[in-house]
Amino acid sequence: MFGNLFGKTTTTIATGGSDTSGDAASAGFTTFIGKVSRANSKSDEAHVVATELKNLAANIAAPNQSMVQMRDYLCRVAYICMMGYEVEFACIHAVKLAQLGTNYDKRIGYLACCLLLHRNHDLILLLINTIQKDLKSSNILDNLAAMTAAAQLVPAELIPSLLPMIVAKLQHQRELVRQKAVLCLHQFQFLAPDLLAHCKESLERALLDKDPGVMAVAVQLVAYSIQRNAAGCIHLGDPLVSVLQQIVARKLSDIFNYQTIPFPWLQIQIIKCLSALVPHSEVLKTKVSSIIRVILQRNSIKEKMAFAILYECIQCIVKMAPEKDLLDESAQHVKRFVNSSNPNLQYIGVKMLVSLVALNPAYAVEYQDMIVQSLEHKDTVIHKKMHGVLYGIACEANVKVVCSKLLQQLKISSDRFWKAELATMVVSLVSRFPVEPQWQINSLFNTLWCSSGDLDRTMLKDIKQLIGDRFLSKDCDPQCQQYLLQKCISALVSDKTAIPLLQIALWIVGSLCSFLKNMEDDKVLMLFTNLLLQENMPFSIQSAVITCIHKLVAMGIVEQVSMATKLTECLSHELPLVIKQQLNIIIKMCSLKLKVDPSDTVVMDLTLTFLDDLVCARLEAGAEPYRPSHLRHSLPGQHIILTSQSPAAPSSGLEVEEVDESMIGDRATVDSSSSPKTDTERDSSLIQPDIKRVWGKQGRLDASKEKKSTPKNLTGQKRTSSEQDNLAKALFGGLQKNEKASLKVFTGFEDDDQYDDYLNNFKTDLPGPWSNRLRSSIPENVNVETMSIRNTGIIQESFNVLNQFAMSNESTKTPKENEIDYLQLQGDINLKKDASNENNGEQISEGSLYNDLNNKLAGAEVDFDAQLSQLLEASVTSGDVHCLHRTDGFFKEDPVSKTAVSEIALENDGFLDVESCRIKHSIYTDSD
Amino acid sequence: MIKAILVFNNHGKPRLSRFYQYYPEDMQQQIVRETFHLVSKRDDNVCNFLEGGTLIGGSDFKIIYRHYATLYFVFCVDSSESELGILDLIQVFVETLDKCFENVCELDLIFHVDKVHYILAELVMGGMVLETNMTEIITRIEEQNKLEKSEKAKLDGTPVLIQTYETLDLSILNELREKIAKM
Repeated sequence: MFGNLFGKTTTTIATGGSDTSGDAASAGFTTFIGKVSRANSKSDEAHVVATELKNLAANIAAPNQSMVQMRDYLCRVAYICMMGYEVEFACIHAVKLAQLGTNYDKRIGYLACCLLLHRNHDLILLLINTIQKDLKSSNILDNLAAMTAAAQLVPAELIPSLLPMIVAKLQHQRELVRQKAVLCLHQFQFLAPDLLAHCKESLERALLDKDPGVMAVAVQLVAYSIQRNAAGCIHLGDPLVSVLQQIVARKLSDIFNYQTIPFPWLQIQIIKCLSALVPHSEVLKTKVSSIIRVILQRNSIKEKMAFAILYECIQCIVKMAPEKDLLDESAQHVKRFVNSSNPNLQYIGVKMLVSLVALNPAYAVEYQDMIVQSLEHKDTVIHKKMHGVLYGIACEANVKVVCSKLLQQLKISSDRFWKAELATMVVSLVSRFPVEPQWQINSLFNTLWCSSGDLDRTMLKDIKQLIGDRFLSKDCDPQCQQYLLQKCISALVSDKTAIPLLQIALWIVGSLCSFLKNMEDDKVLMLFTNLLLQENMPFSIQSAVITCIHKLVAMGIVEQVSMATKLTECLSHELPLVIKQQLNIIIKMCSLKLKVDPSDTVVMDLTLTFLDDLVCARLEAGAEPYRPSHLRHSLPGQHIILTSQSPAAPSSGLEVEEVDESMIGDRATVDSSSSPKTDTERDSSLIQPDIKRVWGKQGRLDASKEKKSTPKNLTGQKRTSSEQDNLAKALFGGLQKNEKASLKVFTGFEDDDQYDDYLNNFKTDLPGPWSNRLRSSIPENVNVETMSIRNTGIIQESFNVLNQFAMSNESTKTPKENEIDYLQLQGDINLKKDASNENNGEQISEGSLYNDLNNKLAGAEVDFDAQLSQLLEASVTSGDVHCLHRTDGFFKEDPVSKTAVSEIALENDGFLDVESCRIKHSIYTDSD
Repeated sequence: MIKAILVFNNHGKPRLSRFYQYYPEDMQQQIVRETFHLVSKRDDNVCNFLEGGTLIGGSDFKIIYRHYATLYFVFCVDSSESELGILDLIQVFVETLDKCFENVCELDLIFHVDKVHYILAELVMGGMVLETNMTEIITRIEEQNKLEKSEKAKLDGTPVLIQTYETLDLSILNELREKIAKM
């Protein structure tokens, strides 16, 4: 195993396993190492280590251990810890040794602490005292050990307890102490930048320390401040330049030379700082550029370290956006790097080339051959960097070739980060150079094919936006759109497509579905149903498929009968509850032969004025006005029949035996669900002729008032009303035929007489009663949903309400009462009751989230805000379109949530169609 | 900033690991394994830099390594460090070790965990380069050694098992040599 245990570590070092510099490991340690090295397998090793740990744990905890033994034990523990075994038991002993030991023991104690503990470890609190004591000590070594430990271990909240002492150490006479103090403060600055605001001056003074070592670390500290806020650190430019001048002029002692170069690391560090500062100051820029010239001149290229400085200089020059001659000179130097035989220098050269080319692609011309060659470079690192150069030199003429090279890499690479980087490059090239549309589409799709699993959300969003802007708007070339659609369909058909690509493809198909008319119906349907029924499909894809199918039906692209049969087949498969519901809705739409003209303008009826008529009729017939569930609870002396578990059961007027008439007005004022808008607002919304108004600001209007208000309502709106009227009639008129049974279910009519009455009403009054009946009988929160009805989605939305109503009903009922299956509510009333009951159990479990939410919403006592946020969260995480649909209703009143919802709606536009998101967005902005 | 300094041998056995940013124990082991995996695949005649790693810091992360006979010295740094600078820093570290241990070998790293860490602590502190001057580092270490020795003199006579591994280790040594011969 350790076949080469005794090999040399450097070629210059002579062989030998001896150590003459001091003590050696104890016998125990040596034996242990021997055992470990003899172990033949991982389990053997684990066994040896476990025995050793057991011994150690016993020994270390034994009383009266000498410090020397303790040291030995802790060294062993540190070694075992490095091997990756759990050594938690030793932590406390490490702290103890640091506390009790002196000098050398203490140092081992601190070292063990550094190796075994971390900033958030519980024992750090114990160590703080020790650190404080050692910082006060007059022994320099104690000071140093304490500061090393402090830098590594002290958490942000404990910094104040040490800060004054460490700041004081900045004035210490030994440069070693000052040096460590500066670095310690540097660590603190990382953790809590604000705490060090008051000692900024003393820190900056360290920059001018007479010891170059202290100066060097001070530069690092300054570098951090500059990195955070370059503009605020301009005053540091001059001291830095003067230090650099001193170094370059070799004014420092020779001991700081490395390979004959004066203090190279400090030079690198200072040039880095300056290159961050120069963009903020013109004065500094001239100074820096002059000193850089000097460095470039004096730099001997014999030593490797000189290249490191050269590299920094060139980086600085690039950042300065300098004069042409400096750039040209640096290009000359880059040449030396790139042509070097040393792979390290080649790599750095290519790296510099990337930054040079970003300034001026012309610099790459010289390296043409080299670039082409290194695309096949055997060293993958250089090879990768070269693609950065390629990206830099891309222009309209060569973008195709460049892109193909990048895509080639994307295909073969398996490195996640590299793939993401390549994809970013391709997408940015496509957006920068819109040459041929087909090429653009191909590039984007290939990117998605190869890497969509590795891309993050923002990247995918960017791609979608790019596609949306370029190809999905109305004035796009239909040929391109056709091509795009073909691409999407091939992606949908393949079973290797990654989920993000599927989502994007579905979204595109949804937007371009009018082109699907040319395809055979069967094929189109197969395309979607196959996807829907594929195993392990995530919900987001399923809902995206549903959205597409919705569109197909609404735009009449697929023959509706075949669609319905196909979808009915799907219902027999295992699908999430919500998806099944949606399928039912679509089937219903098919059977009604509904179509929506895509050119229809969208007008929202937020107040459901067209339902007022029915409300009025019912109220006149003696029904109880709808009250929100929470009010139902709080009203004393009221005799409402409520099931015990369901405070929000749809207790409509029919269930009320006796009502205190005087209360109606009061309730109506808080009843926001029934036409809460003012008259003027109402004028802009959907309107139905023959509708009387029952509800005003003050609640229910008198019968006499009512008559007067009706004509106003009629004249209030002209545009689109007739169209919508037709649509609404078309939508709801068709429903009448099979309404008899289902209405019974919706409304919970107890006896047939009542029901017949109601149906008569319904038939004459078109289409309001049906919805309104529902509306007045369901809890407020579900009701709000219907406010977002828009004409294209009117059926869908109404059905949603029905569904939700049903669901809330279901979830709050006892099993015996659970006769009303939601399927019945969808119109499938012929389904036998027992069968539906069976179904129910399963569906409820599937849609448990859904039900749960409904349940909570139905609960009158639950905090409304909490509900909202919960619902919102749920809808975001599950990607549930319906939840989202529902939330937007609730958020109507609250501007903060409003933006939240619209944001989410926009973000989720993969499965919500973009249009509906846009509409939602506009609702929010309109209502502002 | 330097995020981690790892030393492992050609078989991936860790010989020294120091993390300047906190990672949970299992993550540390994973980092060592993955780094070894990345580094050991590389030829000797390619560059000593690697970019991007899934573990430590994603794309803002570089591995700079040097391979000496049986040991890999790996510095994991973020993008603010100069590659060539770190490369020479590794050289400084190894040369210092060599001077301090007078012909350093893999065993020194094992049996002198503490000393190696002290040398490293003079070189890098909290992820920042502290001292790059080899003479200076060696002076400091010697200073500390003197202190330690004087202390040991005081403790002389205490019944503590201290033996040089030269004698004790002989059996292991022979055994291993046999193994090598077989291979």
